[in-house]
Amino acid sequence: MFGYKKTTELKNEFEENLLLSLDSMYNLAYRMTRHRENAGDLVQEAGLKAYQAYHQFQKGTNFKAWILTILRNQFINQYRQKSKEPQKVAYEEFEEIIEAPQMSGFEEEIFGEHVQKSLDDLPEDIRVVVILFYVEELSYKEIAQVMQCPMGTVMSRLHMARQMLKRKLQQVIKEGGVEN
Amino acid sequence: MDCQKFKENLYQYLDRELDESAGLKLEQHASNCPVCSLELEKEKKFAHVLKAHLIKEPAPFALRESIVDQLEGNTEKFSWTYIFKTRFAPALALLAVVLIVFAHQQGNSLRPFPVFSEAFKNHLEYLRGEYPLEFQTSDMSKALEWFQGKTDFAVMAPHLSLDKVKLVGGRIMHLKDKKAAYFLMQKDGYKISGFYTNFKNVEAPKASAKEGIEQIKPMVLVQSENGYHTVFCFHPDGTACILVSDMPMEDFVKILA
Repeated sequence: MFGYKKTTELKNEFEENLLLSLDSMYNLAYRMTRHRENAGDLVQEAGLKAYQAYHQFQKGTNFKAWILTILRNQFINQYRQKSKEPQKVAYEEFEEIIEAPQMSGFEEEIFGEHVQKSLDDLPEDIRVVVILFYVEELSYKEIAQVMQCPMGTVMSRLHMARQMLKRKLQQVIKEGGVEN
Repeated sequence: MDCQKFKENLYQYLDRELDESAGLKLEQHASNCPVCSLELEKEKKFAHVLKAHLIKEPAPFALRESIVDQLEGNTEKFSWTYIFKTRFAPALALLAVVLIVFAHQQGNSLRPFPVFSEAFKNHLEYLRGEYPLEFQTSDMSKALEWFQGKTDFAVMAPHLSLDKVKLVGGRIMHLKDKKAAYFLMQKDGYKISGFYTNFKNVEAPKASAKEGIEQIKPMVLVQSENGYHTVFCFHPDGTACILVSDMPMEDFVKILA
């Protein structure tokens, strides 16, 4: 076993890493649970799990990707089970290519306001991939690790996300930004 | 590369997942094909708008605090502090007010704070170049002006004979979770870090032979570690100035105000 000093050093190192990734963990937890208190609990539980498993973390790899993997697994085990019907996406629907519309500054602004809401409306698996890619700036490979799926799936989910968001964008622009 | 291949590679290119040579070919194609070039521009813009408008929810401070508590005393399987803080926040706020009033009456403080080790650590991290200065000036009044409005306590000049040391600059820093005004100073080639922070609701350190904390004047404590000396000057109003340097202790004492 580790001596006292060694354990303290490891703990400090872990704590430092954890605090640097805490906003990322909370943001992802909040976007998955859509609930602030549950998100906080989830982060807390995942943090503890990660601490217990810290010896398995490989130095030199991305700590954030590692701890988000734990967070996501914790979410699946604990929270997603509770929802009755797992979310399914009709894949065929997105075979067609939707072009990105050409945006004027004004349209960009209108759509900007709707980006977060449009993302929140996407199915959970797709939403998470978008956050990991655009907000956390993880690579395809790291996202595949977090989602525990092949890289091809990451790419197709990102593709679907873009199609869905583009469709939304076109609608928003058409309606002049007035929604609901 | 033709238009078909361009379409196939476009997203990998935008996502920075395409290898360099294929990326060059794609750029080359776009520069010769107006249709694909427009497509590339639109997709770039789309990605940019997405990125710019996704909101990252920051972790609440209570969560940050309770995670640290949990790690520091990691015997507890589950931290009740966080649950209390989020579920019973109003009651907790009231309790906090009562506790603060109580602490004031008692003249006691609430939680111990590892001020010496934190200041020492920050000084070393500064020397390693981990924290760039946010302003540079040798004029103390300009420095104090810079700090105005950036902290919730009034920042005062470090407790040094200001005619004997040279101010270099400063920035906002954190001593663990406490915001501090940071001053970098110089004297005879030695660097001196000064931290000015609020010590309300926190237990001020006390002289202790066990921890090597020595009282050299009323309200002034010193701890020495690896040739570095950390001086802690406590104010009756609850603020404190912490100074760290590796200059010899007898010289350090001479410049203390």
